Amino acid sequence: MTRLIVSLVAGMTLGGTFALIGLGLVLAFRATHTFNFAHGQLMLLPAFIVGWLQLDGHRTWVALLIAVVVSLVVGALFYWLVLRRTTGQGVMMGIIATFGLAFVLDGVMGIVIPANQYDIDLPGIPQGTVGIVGVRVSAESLTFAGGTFALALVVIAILRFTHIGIRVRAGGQNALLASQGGINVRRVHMGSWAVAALLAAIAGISYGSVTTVNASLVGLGLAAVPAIILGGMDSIEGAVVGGVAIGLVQAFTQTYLGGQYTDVVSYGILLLVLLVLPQGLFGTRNVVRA
Amino acid sequence: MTSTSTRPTRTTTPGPAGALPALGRIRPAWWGVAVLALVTLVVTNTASSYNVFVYDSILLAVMGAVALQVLQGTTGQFSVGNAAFLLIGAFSAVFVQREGLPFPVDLVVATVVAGIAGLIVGIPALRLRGLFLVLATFAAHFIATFLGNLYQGHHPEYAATGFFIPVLFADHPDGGGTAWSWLLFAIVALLILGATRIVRERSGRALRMIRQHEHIAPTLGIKVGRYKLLIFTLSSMVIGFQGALLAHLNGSVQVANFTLILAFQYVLMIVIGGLDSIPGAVIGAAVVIALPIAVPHILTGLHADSVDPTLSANFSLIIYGVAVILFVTASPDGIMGLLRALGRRVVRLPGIRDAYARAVAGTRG
Repeated sequence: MTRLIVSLVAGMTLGGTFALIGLGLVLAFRATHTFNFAHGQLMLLPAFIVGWLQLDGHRTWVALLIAVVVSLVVGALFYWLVLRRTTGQGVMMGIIATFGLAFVLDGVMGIVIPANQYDIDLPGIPQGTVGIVGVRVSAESLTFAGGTFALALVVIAILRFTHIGIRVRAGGQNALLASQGGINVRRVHMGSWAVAALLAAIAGISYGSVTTVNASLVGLGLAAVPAIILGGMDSIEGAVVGGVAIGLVQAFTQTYLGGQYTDVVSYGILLLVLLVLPQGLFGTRNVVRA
Repeated sequence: MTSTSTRPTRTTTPGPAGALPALGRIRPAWWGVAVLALVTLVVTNTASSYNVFVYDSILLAVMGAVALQVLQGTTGQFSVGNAAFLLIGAFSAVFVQREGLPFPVDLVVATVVAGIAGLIVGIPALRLRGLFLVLATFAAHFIATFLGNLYQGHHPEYAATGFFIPVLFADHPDGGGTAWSWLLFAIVALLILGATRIVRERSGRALRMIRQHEHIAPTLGIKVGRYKLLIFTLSSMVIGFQGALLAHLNGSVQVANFTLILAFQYVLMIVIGGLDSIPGAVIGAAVVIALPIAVPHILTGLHADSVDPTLSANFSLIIYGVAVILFVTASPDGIMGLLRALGRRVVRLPGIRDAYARAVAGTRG
C-alpha cells in the first residue's frame, strides 16, 4: 500500500512535468511541424539561469524574470531566424535545425554557466511531508503535481476558448487557409515557439526545484517523447493524458522493477505505439508529412 | 539535385573530360578513391602520430557517414540510430573476444549482429515515414543503450574503465597508426565504390523515388519494402563493422561513449557535407571530426595563451550548431552544394569556357 501511494504521487509529479514538456513539444509541432530535439536544452537553460542567479545573491523573482525572458527570446528567435527560412524544404530540415539549436545551447551553457549543478529554492512552497491514508509524502512534490496540472489545464483552456487560441490552432491546422482568413501566421508561429520555450522553462525550473538542476534535465525532456506520441503528436489534450500515463508507468516501473528499467519501458511503449497506433490516442490520423 | 548528384565526385576531382577522353571515361568515384589514396600517402608519411590517429578516426567516421548518407540522404530514411549500431557492433566484438575467439571472427560477428538489428529496426520503417521513423530509431537508441548497460552491469569490474579489447597493430614501431590508415583506406575505398554503385543508375533511381514519392514508387515496379529493408540492413552492417573496428582502435568499449549526441553528429556530417552525396559524407565526416581538434589551435592563435579544454569543447559545439543551422537555412545542399555552385561559376569564366570549348572541339575534330 505504501509503495502504491508513493508510486502514485511520484507518477503524478512526473506526469505533471511530462504534461508541461509535452504541451511545449506539441505547440511547437503544431506550429511548424518540427519536432524539437532541443526541448531538453530549453528546459535546462532557464533552470541553470535561476540556480546561478540565486547563488549569486539575486532576488528569486529577478532570477525567474530573467530566465523567462531569455526562454521567450530564444524560442521566438529560433523560429524567426531559422525555422521561418526552412519552410517548404520538408520537415526534416527543421528537425536537423533543432539539433543545431541543441548543440548551440549546450555550448553556450557550458561557457556561460560557471558550475554544472545547482539547487533552486523557490519561496512559498510548502516543505515537509503530508499524510495520505497513512503514508507520508513530500508536500513539495504534491504542490508541483497540482501546479503543473493546473497550468496545463489553463493552457488547454486558452487554446480552446480564447481568440488567440483559435488563431494558434488555425495556424497549426492549415497555414494557408489561416493566412487567407487574416491571421498573421508567422506571428502566430513565433508566439507558439516562444510559449513552447516558456512551458519548457516552467517545467525545467519546477522539476529542478524538486530535485537538482544538472544535465540530466535534458534526458527528462527526451523522456517526454513517448508521452506525446502516446497522446498523439498534434493533440494538446493528448499531451496531458500521455504525460500522466507515462509518468505513472515510469514511477511504477521504478518502484516495482528498479530504476534502470524506466527508460527501456517507456521507449518500448514508444516503439509499440509507433507500430500499432502511429497517430496516438488523440492525434489526427493522417499526420505523416514527410 | 538528383541529376547532378548521380556523378557524385565530379566537383571534388574534375577530370579533364574533354581534353583527355581516356581519363574522362574513368568513373568519378575512382577519382575520389585516387585522391583519398594520395591524402593517405601524404598523411602517413608526414603527419605526427597524433595527427595520423586523427586521420584514422576520420576514416572510421567516414564509414558511418557514408552508410547514413545512403540511408538518409539518398533513400530518405531519417535515422538517429548510428550510435546504437556502433554500440551493437562494439559490444558484439567485446562479447566474441571474451568468448576467446580470434580477431577477424569478432568483426564478422559484429557485422552480422548489427545487420540483424538493422533488419529489426527496418521493419518499423516499412510502416513509418519521416518523423515517426526518426522517433523509432530514437527509441532503438535507448533500447540498445539499455542492453549495453545490462551487459556492462553483469561485469561490474569493468564499469569504470570499460571493456578492454586488444588494440590492433599495437606492436608496430609507430604504434600502428599508419597501418590503421592503410587498412581503413582500403575499407573506405571499397565502401565508397560499393555505395556509389548503389546510389547510381537503376537502384539509385529507385532509392530516390522512394525518398521523394514513396507512394508512387510501387506503381513503377519498385519494391519499396525490399529496398528499404536492404538499405537498412546494409547500412547497419557497415556501422556495426565500424563499431567493432572502433573498439580495436581505441582499445576499450563503454556504453557511456555511445551517446545520442554522437548519433546527432553523424546526421550533422551528412547535412554539412551535403545530402545525397557520397563525397559530401566524406567531407562532412572530416569536418565534424577535425573541428574539435582544430578549435583549440584556433583559440590559442587568437588568445596566444593556453586554452581551457572544456572551453574549446563548448566552442566546437557552438560552431557545429551554427554551421548546421547556416547550412539548413542558407545552403541545404551542404558543402557539396557550395562546391557545385563554385564549379559552375568557374566553368563560366571566359578563359576557362573558351579553353573547354576548344578542347571539346579538338576531340570532335
